[in-house]
Amino acid sequence: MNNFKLATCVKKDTLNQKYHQFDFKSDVPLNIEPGQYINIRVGTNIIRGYSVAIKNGDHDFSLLVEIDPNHQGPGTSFFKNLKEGDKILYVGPFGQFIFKKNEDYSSFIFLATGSGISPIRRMIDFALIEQNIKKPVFLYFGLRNEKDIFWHDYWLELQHKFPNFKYKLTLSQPSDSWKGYKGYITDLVKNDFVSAQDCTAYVCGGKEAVLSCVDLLINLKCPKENIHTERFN
Amino acid sequence: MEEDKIIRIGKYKVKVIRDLCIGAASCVYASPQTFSLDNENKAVINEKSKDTEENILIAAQSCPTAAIVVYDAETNEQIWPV
Repeated sequence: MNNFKLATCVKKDTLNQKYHQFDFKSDVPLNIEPGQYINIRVGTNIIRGYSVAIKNGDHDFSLLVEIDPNHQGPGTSFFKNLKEGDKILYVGPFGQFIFKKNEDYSSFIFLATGSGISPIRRMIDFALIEQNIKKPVFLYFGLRNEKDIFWHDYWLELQHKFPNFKYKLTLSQPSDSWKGYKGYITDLVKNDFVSAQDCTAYVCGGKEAVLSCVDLLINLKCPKENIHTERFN
Repeated sequence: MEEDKIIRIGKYKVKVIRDLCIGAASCVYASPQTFSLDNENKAVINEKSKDTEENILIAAQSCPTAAIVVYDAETNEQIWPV
């Protein structure tokens, strides 16, 4: 007896050596808020949480999964072996990291590092495409080097379609030939914002990155209650 | 070491294995009537919970460390983890 729901893997897309996108079709509708996660049974009595990155209709959703070739945890092994047509068992949704359409504040700042972009993608898709929000929406995305880059064209296209959306990618350890932004996302925010007192911020990524973003946002006078975070480690 | 308490809620008996609990709070989202986090960030059970059996089972099944054990109160059969 259990409450797990079934979903079928319909596509496995290797975005690069580290990041993979898995598309699923759920047997039952998945009623999930932008930013929430589901828990997947990745082994006997082993559950791992994954934020929903993309949602199409009631049954179709996608997860972004980081598969570190040097790490053999149960989640990594599960997704490494998952093939198109395979079923997964999940429960959820869960989580309080949820996009709220805040009418009182002037702009939205999204800050993500690595796979922390996953719930942020769902939030931005929801805000721009589904809610047609006209307020400025900023996305600062941090990765390590060129080999890690994914969804870049997607964000550029979104920026082209929505004039109120601004996207900046920065690499912390790029090669010498990299022509884009170098450093951390906090460096970019420091340059772009004198004050964040009228902003709502959503931050997701590794612990250190999230903590430094929160410190910066507080220094920029972003109200604490408007800083929403989710840590992936 | 203090033994983990087994609490009866409806047709289930429920236990949180404190040593396993990492404070992920999935159980709190799944069944806020039944679970909360104490000052050590460990899940604790509210004996007075009237939440549905389904929500309690989902709460247990959502735990990333399988720290919540659910038994059938009549038969003592372990329902989760299985």
